[in-house]
Amino acid sequence: MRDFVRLIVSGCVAGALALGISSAAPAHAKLTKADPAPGSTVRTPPRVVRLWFALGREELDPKRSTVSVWDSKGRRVDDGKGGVDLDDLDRVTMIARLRTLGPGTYAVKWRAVSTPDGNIAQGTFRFTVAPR
Amino acid sequence: MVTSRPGNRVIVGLALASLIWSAASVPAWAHGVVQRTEPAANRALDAAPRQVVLYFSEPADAALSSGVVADRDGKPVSTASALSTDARRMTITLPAIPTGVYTVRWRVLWPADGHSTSGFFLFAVGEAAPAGPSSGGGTPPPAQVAFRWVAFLAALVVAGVALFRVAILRPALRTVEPAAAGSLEATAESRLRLLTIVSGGAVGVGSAGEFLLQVAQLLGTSALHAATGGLFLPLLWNTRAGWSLVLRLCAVFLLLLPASPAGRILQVGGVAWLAVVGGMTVLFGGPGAVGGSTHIVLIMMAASVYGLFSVLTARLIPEIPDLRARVPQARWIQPLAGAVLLAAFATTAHAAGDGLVAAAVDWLHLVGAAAWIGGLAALLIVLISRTLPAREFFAGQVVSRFSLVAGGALGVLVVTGLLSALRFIPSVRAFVITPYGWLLLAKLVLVVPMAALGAINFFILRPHLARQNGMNPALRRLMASVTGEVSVGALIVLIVAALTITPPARVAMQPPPPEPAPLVLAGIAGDVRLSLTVAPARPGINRFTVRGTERGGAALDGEVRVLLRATKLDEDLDPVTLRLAYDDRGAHTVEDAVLGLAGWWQVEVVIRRRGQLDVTTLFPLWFEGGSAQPLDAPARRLLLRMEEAMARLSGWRQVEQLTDGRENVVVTRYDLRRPDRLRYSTSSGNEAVIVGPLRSFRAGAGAWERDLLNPPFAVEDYIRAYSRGARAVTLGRTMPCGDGTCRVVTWETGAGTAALAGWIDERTGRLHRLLMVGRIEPHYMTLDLMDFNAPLRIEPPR
Repeated sequence: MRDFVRLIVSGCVAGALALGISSAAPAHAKLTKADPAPGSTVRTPPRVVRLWFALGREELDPKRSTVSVWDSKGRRVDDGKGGVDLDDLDRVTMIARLRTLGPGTYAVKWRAVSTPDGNIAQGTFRFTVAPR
Repeated sequence: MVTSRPGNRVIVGLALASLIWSAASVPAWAHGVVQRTEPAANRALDAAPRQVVLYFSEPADAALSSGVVADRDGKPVSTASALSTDARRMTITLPAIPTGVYTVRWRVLWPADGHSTSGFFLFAVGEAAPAGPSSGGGTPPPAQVAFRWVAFLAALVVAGVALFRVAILRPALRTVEPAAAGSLEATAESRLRLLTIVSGGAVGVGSAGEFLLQVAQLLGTSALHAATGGLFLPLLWNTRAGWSLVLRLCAVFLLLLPASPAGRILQVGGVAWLAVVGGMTVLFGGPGAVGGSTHIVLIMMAASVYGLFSVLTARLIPEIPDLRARVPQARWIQPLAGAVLLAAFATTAHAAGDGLVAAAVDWLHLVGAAAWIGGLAALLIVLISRTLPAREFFAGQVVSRFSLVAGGALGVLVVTGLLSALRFIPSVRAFVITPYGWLLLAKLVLVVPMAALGAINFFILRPHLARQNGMNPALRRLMASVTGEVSVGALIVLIVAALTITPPARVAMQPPPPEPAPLVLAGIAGDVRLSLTVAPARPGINRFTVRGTERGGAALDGEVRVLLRATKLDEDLDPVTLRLAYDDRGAHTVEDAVLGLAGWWQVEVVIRRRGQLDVTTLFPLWFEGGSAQPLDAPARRLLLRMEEAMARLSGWRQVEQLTDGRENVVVTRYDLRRPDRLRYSTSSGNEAVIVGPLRSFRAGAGAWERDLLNPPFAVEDYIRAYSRGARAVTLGRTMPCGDGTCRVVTWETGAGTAALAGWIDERTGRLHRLLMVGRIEPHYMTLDLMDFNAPLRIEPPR
């Protein structure tokens, strides 16, 4: 009888804990800054696009996070090797190197996978190159 | 016949001294001492420690031992104190403390003899070393010691008097003519009764006082608070010292009862009462189990009922002349009570911690001492008088009998003393090196002249007395000799008194536990060979240090980031990520990493360099003593499932990293293929190919050698060898592995030689990772399994 009661009680406690844990939202990556800034117009075409993220205590997973840059016609304009910037020891930046860009509007598509919790966040932003 | 007044006074004075000598025979206490502390006393530290550790020579009582660290103003700064599982180590945890001088105050209850000791020491953070005192904690306060001596001395006297009465006085009285015997008996009995009352009272007061002071010291309050506070009674019933006190008071009560019929009835009743209560206590599981439980109530009820009955009987029966005459003399009760009293003292002596035989030897030693010293006291008090009729002849009879008893007592003392010395002094060397040894040596040396004087009494003066019936000079010579005996005995007082407060040589010579060797786990992460030093490798606060070299030989420097990810495998806790700081000396360190819980941990070392992906390696850490309850059935089922899944595989690859905790590592790669093929190559250049019973192996690039294996190798048994006979099988947390999730299962080998943690895929049952920590032989293994069912070709070399 005592064991049964104990089982019920521990079940309730476990349930409450599980609810508590699951309700604590794990950190999804949030884009905090980018260069060129989202929605901005730049005069000189950039050579790299850099993205900064806030991930709480997590880091970017270099193997699964990607970033790519596309022109208005849907063609890829980065060198295809974009991803987590391995020169940043904090692993919170992504970088993509670009070909020489002409004037126009470009889209940056990013996908940030956190490690170790594996959460995925993604987004797109645009910038315009308009030399005078 | 008159002896000179000054002589009388000298005799009385020395008699008192000899009685003090008896206190000297007090065996020292059975409790332990503090052998070592971290930080050491009076040290000046650069960085504030996160904990203070005290090492004891014997296990301490967990509930009633504590420690606190206070700052310069006496304000406590520590957060908690706790004992290790073997109760020989107390850890006091500290928050971050500023520079300053700190006092560590500790008090410990030793279960072995029920005594408590306390002490303190200083240390400084960021300041010069404090020059203050520190107490070793082996010396109890003087007041407590004084009470104990008084109690002990008086107990020897009162027990000795009881023995004297029965063994010496009565037989001596029978040799004197009845007319004189009557008045002799009356005088002697009245004096002995006085001595009994005085010393019995002293036993009671001394024992109670000593216990009260002990409680006060244990609780850290004054004696008054200790007596009136709520903890006094529980301590009385729950500690050995408490029960010793109760027993002593019962024995004293019996001894103080008069020899009248009423008194004798009460004596008999009292003995029966003690036997009943004692029997009930033993039935219920001994004093420890009875104390504080409901059984105590039962016993007290039975005791009161019985006590009431005895008192009534004692009151009523003597009123009836017929019955009064039939009340037995029961002369055996007083010596029995004396023996019980001495046994109560023996339970709180050093030997009490060593078992029944040792305690019995101690008790016999006390009986011998009581017979000698108590007998001497009785002798003196009976014979010192100007008005004792028929003194010379009677004196001769008494003395000759006493000398016989004393001789026997001396024999018992020597034998039991030697036995005890053998137990407490581990070697002849200890006599010379330790304070306990010196004191014991001195005591032994001084016993010789005492015994010599006693021998003179026995062999030379006694026959004189017997022959020269009534001659003055012989008696005077006798008294002088006895006085000499007594004065030598007085010298021994001081020596043995010091013995009581000196830790026995066995304890003093016990080497303190060695500094635990730091654990140095070596591993290979990608192209980096690294070592992870864990100090002190115990649950709690640890320091992690990583050193490494890249393949080209370059050491890891400040440009490299080193991270540590610690995951508890047997509980579902968030992993802890620590960032190590470079110390400009080739090492990355994190100082106060808290791995607070015992059980299974995995520690992953991450080496991060600019422009490169992280390289990692994984180490197992296992701290014995986790509180996880083994869920035997589901865990065992999963383990069985794993064995079956692995037996069904056609093959797999595995990488094994094995380190011995002393900076050596070997990484071995295996290919396995059913039914009986294995190929491996180690990082130290060895390789081998096994096909069934045939093994081909070579070291380096040399020639292949071959031998036969018996029994032949079988892949089916390979993994099973790790889980065969597993015990303490427990389910741990879940972790992602490959594309799915794995459940960690922990177990120990049947022989208890190693602890293992396996990652088992919940869907397929396959083993993905196996961690092993050797318990007897230090070894730490990380085994990663992969490429399940890959088509592998394993052929023996040509």
